[in-house]
Amino acid sequence: MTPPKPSERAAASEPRERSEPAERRTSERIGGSGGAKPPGVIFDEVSKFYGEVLGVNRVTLNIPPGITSLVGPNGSGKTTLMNLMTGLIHPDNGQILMRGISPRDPEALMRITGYATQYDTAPRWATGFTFITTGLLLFGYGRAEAEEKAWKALERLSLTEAANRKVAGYSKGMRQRVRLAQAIAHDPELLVLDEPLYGLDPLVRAETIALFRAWASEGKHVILSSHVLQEVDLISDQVVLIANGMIIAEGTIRTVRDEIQEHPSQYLVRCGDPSGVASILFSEDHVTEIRLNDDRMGLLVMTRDREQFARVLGRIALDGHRIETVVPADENVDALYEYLIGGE
Amino acid sequence: MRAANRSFSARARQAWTIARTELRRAFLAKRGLWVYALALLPAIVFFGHGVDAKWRTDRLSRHGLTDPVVMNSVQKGEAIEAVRARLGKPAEERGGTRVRRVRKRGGDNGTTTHVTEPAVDARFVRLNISRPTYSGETVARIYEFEVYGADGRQNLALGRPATGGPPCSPDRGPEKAVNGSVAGGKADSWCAENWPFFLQVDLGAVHPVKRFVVKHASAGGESPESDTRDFNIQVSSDGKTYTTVATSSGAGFVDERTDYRVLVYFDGRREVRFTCVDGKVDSWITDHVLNLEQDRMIFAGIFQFFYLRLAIFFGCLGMFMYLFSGEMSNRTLHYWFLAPARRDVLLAGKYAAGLIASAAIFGGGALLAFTAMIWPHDPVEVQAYWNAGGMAHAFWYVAAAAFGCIGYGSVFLAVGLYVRNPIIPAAVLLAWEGAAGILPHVLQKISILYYLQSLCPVPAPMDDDVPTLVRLLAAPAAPASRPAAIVGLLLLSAVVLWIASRAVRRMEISYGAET
Amino acid sequence: MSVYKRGYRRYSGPLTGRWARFLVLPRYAWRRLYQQRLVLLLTVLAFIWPLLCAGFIYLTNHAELLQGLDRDFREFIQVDGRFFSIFMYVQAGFAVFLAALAGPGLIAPDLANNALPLYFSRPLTRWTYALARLTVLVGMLSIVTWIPGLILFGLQVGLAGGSWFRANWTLGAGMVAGFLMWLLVLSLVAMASSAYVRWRVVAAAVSLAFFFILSGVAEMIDNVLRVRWGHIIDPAWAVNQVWRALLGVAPIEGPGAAASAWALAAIVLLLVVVIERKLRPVEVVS
Repeated sequence: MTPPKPSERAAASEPRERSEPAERRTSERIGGSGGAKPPGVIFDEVSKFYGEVLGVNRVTLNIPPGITSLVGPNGSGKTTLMNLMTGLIHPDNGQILMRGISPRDPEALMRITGYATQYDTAPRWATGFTFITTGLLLFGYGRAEAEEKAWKALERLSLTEAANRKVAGYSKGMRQRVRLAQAIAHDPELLVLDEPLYGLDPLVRAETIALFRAWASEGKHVILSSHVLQEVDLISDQVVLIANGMIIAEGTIRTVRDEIQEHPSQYLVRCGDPSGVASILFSEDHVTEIRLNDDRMGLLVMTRDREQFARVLGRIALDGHRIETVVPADENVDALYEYLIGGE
Repeated sequence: MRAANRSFSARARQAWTIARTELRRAFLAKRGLWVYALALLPAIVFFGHGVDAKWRTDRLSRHGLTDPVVMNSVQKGEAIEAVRARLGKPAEERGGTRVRRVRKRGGDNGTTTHVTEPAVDARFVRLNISRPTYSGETVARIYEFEVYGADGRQNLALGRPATGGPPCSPDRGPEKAVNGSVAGGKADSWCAENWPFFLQVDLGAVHPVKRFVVKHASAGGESPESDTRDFNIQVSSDGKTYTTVATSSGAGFVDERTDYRVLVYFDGRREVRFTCVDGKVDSWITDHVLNLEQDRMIFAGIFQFFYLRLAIFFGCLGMFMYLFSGEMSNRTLHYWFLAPARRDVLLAGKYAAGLIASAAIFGGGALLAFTAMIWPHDPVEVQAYWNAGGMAHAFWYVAAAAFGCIGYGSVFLAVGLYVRNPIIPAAVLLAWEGAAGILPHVLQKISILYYLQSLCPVPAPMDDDVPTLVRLLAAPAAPASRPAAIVGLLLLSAVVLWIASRAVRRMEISYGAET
Repeated sequence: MSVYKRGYRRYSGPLTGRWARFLVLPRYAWRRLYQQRLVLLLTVLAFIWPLLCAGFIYLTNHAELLQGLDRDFREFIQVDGRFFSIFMYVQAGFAVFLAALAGPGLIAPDLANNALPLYFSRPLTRWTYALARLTVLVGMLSIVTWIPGLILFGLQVGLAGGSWFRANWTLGAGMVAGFLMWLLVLSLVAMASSAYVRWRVVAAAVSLAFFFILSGVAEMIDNVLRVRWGHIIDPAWAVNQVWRALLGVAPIEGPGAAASAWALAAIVLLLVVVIERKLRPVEVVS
C-alpha cells in the first residue's frame, strides 16, 4: 500500500512516483506476492469518461481483504468505481483485476462477487424470497439448495417475516436489506456494497455492521461506500478517499493521517495541572498550538512530530506531573475528510 | 465455492434457466395482454363469422330447404304467386317501400316559371344564383331568361342588353340567355364559373312585370343535375335598389316510393333473395352463406397483410425490445448483468424466452384462426379439403408465424440493444418491408417478409384492378422453394443475433432520468 | 420558537382563481414542446399544403389566370366541400404524427419519474391536470389544422365575396367542427397511451400503432364477415364519414355519419376511462 504523497496531490495529473520496482508491482498485480495472502482488488491507471464528463481519472488502487470504505463527496465517482469493479461499465483505459479475475469475465467473477447497488428498483413480480431464489438459480444451484441459501440470507438480515411479500411493497429499509441479502446469498468472496447502511434503523445497522466484521475476519473483501464518517471510522480497516474522480488517499486511517504532514496532529491530554504542562510543552519547537480546555482539566495540543511529542510526554510524566489520558483528536475519517477533501 | 463450469452444456443449462425466468414474465405480464389480443383477433373475427353463418343457416332452414334446381329456374317477370306455388313457402318474406329522394321536376323539362302578384314596376331584372347546380359543380348555366309584363304575352327581355358575371367562354355570354332560343346547344346558353353568379337584363324602360320564365340546363339538353338549384329574382327601377320578387323553391326533392316484396329462399348452401316489384320478380341476389374457397382466400389475405405485417411485427417489437431496452428503462437490467453468466449466454436465454413465448402465442393464434375459419363449413367439404392438402396448409401457416417470430424477434432484439427509441427503427423497418417488392433482388434477401411470404401456403388474393406498383409492393416475387426460404431466414436471424451478441458484450448500464 | 413567531407572516395577498390555476401547467409545456426539433420541423412542414391551397384559392378567384389552365385542374381547385375535405385529410395526417411525437412527452415523464404526487399535493385535481395537458395538445395541433383552415376560408371569402359566404358558410363551420373532433380523438389517444405505457418513446409508437392496427382490424372484419360496418371501428374512417357529411361531400359506402359519430364518442369515452384509471398519484401494491 502506497498512499500518494500529499505534495503530489496537486499535481495528480502527473505520473506518480512509485518507490517499488516495476517487477514487484507486476507480481502484486498478478497476485500471490508471497503466496498466502489472496490477491486484492487492483485498479491500474483506470479512467472512465462519460462523453466529456469525467467519471474517474487514472485510478490506481490495491485493496486488500477486510473492510474498505470509499469516502467522498457526492458525484466523486464512488458508484462509478463500484460499477467498474463489477463489470456493469467498462473502463476507457487501464485494467481492473478482482482477485485476479477481470470484470470482463462475469461468468467467473460474479460467482465470487456480490454487489448491492443503490438502484432502488426490483422486478415488480418478485417477492423477497423469489427475488433471491431466482438469482441463485442462475448459479447452477438446484431449486432446493437455492431456496435454502435464500432463506439463510434472509435470516441473516432479519427479513424472514416479510419474505413472501412483494418487494415493491417493502419499506425503504426493507428494500435495502433485501438487496443486501441478494448480494450475500451465494457466499461471495468479494462484497461490493453501495451505501449499505442507508435507510436502516439503528438496530439493524448494528447487526449489519457485525455482519461486515464477521466477513472481514473470514478474509473476504468488503468494499463499501458511505457518507456517515463516524461509522466509517468504526468499522473500516482501510479507507479510500476520492474526490472529483481522483483518488486522494488510500490506506488505513492512521497511515493516511501520518502522511498528511501539512496538518499538525492533535492530541487531547487530560492532566491535573494543565497550565504547568502547557508551559513545558511550549518550549518544544514541534508544538505549534496549545489550547486549554474549558474545564481546566485538559489540553488540546497540536504537534508536528509525534515521536518527539511522545518523548516529551514521557519526560513530563516522569517529572511528576499527573497525566491521565492522551488521545489523538483527529485520527478519524472526519478529520481526514476535512483536511483532504473539505478544502476543495 | 462453485467454480465456473465453462462447458457448453453448463452454459446451455444456464441459458435455459435464464429463459425459464423470463418466460414466466413473457407469458404472464400484464403489459403482455395486448400481444395476446393481437394474436387472437383474427381467430375472434373468424369465429364471429362462423357463428353468424350458423345462425343464418338455422334461421333460414326453419321452414325447410328449397330444391336448388327449382330455385335456378325462376325467371325475371314471373308472378309472385307462381313463385310461391313452385318453390313453396319462402324461408323469409318481407316487404317494404323503397324510398328514393329525387329532385322535384320543377316545371317541365328544366323550365321554371315564377309569378309575382301584383305586377311590379321594373327596368332592371336580375337573376341571382346562390347554388348553381344540383350536382355541386360551381358552374351556372341559363339557357333562357324570359320576363313577361302584365299582359303576359310578350317577352320583355328578348334581345335586351344583358350583363352578368364573367362567362365561361366568350361565346357564352349573358346575351345568349336572352336570344330567344335554346336549341343551339351549349353555345346557346349563358355560362358562368365564378362567383358571384348573376344575370341582369336591362328592359330599357320601366315596365310592369309579372311572370318570369327561366330555362335551365336540362331545357337545353344537358343533364338535369346541372339545373340551377337555388336562385332568386330581383327587380329594380333605377338600377340601385333591388327588391326580391321570386325565389326558387330551394332544393326541391320529393320521395319517390316504390313498393316491393322480397322472398328469401334457401337451399342449404345458397340464399337467394328475390325482389318483386308490382307483383313480378324484378331481380334477385344470390349469396353463399358459406364458401370455403372464398374463406380460404380471405384467410390467406388476412394472414399476409394483417397477421404477418401488423400483428407479428408489433407483437415482436413489444416483446423483444422489452428484453434489453425495456429493462434498461425499468432499471432492472443490472440484475441480469450481475449473474454469473457470459453476456451472450444471457442474450441466448432472453432470445429463447421471447421466441418461445411469441411463437407459442402467434403460432397458436394462427392455428386458432385457421380452425375458426374451417369450423362452420360442411364437414364433407372440410374433409375433402383436409385430404387435398388442408393439413399441410395449416402446418405451414403455423410455421410461417413461428418463423416470423424468429426473424422479427432477432431483428428487434438487436435493435433494442443499439437504440432505446423504438419508433424510428420500427418505422424504417415497416417501410423497408413494405418496399421490399421494388428493391433489387440482393436487398430483397434482407427482408424478413420476403422469406415469410414463400412459406405461406396460399398466395394472397389481389383484386385485378389493383395497380401494378401496389401489387409489386404487396406481394413481391418470392423465392420458389420453401427449404430455401427457411434456410435464408435462419441465416439472416443468425447473422443478426451474432451482431447483437457483439453489442451486448460491450453494453454498459447507464440509468439516466426518464425524459 | 420565538424566532418563528416573530418573523413568519402568512401570505395574505390575492390568490390565483380556481380556474386560472390550471393555466400554470401549460405555461412551460409550450416552450418545452417547441424546443424539440422534430416537432418544430413537422409543424413547419405542415404549412406547405395550406400555402399551396392559398395559391389555388387565389388562382380560382382570378378568372384571367385560369384561362390557360387545364380543365381538370380547374375543376380540382374549385373551392367547395371537396377542396376543404382534401385539405383536411392532409392536415389531419400531419396532426397524427405531431400528436404521436409531442403528446407523450407531456405526460409520460411525469409518470415515469413519479412526479404526480408533486402535482396532486397542490390544489390541483386530476381532471385539472389532464385538462391542462389536453389544452396544450389541442392547441399545438390547432396551429396546423383549423387555424390555417380558417385563414384559407377567410381568404376565399375575401376574394369571392359575401354571396359565396352566404352560400357556403357551412363549409367553414363544418371544417372547424370536424377538425376539433379529430384533435380531441388524437389528443386523447396520445394521453391515454402515455398514461398506460409510461415511456415516452414507446407511448409514441403505441399512439401510431393504435391507428394502424384499428384500421387493419376494420379491414379484417369487413372482409371476413362480408359486411360494411366493420369500418366503424377505424377512427380515421369514422371521422372521414363525419367530415363528408359536414362538408356536403358524398359519403363513402358504409355506416353513415351519425353511426360514425357515435362510434367516435364511444372511443373517446373509452380513452377517458383509461386515462382516469391510469392517472393516479398513488400505486397500491398487493
